[in-house]
Amino acid sequence: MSEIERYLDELFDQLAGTGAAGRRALLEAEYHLRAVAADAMARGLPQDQAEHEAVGRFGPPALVARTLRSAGRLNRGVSTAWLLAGLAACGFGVAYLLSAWWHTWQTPNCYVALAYGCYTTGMLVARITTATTIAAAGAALLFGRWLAVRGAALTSSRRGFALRSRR
Amino acid sequence: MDLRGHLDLMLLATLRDDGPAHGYAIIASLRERSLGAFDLPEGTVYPALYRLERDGLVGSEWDASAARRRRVYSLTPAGARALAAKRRDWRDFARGMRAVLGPGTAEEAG
Repeated sequence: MSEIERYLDELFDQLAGTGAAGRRALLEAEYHLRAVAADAMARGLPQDQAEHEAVGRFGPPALVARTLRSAGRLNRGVSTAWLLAGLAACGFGVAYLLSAWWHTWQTPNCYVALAYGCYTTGMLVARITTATTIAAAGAALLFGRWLAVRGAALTSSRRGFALRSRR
Repeated sequence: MDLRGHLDLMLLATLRDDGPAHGYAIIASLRERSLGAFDLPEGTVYPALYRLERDGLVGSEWDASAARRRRVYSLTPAGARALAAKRRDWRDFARGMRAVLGPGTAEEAG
């Protein structure tokens, strides 16, 4: 087995779980390695040395896989805003519902205590429905973020590229 | 030299100047244009290209005309705008650094 083949096998192992991005990276890596090796052979290097040079220049499979996983991470700003929006909506909705429950329990016949202008049962129901909807939307936001982070985690490990020249 | 944070700018500039190109050609051009100063592990450039593509700054498509399938990357209009902004930032930064560090000495040049 050639050095390029061994390298691609190892890269394939390292890219496990990265899905389509990993498959694409593997295809591009193979094209790249064979092109570099072909160039080196055109310069007069024997095949084994040419493949060794190509693999050496490409970088360790673990580093390549790690940078690929990092590239798939969810943007930190978006992620934070998403989390805060979800928590705020959930918090507001739940707080209102708890408040409604508490005041209704304290003063079963006094809807006025719930909010300004809340004089009728219909208005109370409308407000509780709105609060429930907001809380549910917040929960949906939090669940969606969890799914997105979980999905990104399948193609991520740690933040940032560790790109350094060899000089 | 630490290239963290500068790779995006270099990739966008290479795509602007060279036009659509596959990864190997982009990396070769980058090395040539930098006079060999930036000798990256080549495999780490592809994830940077994927990230730029995800952000809409670079587009790509498979080129089936070659013996082996390869991905050809090109700069999008959003990428061109981002490049212009990054170039301004970089030049401001470089001007500030030059002002602080002062002119180089003959010893440093040697």
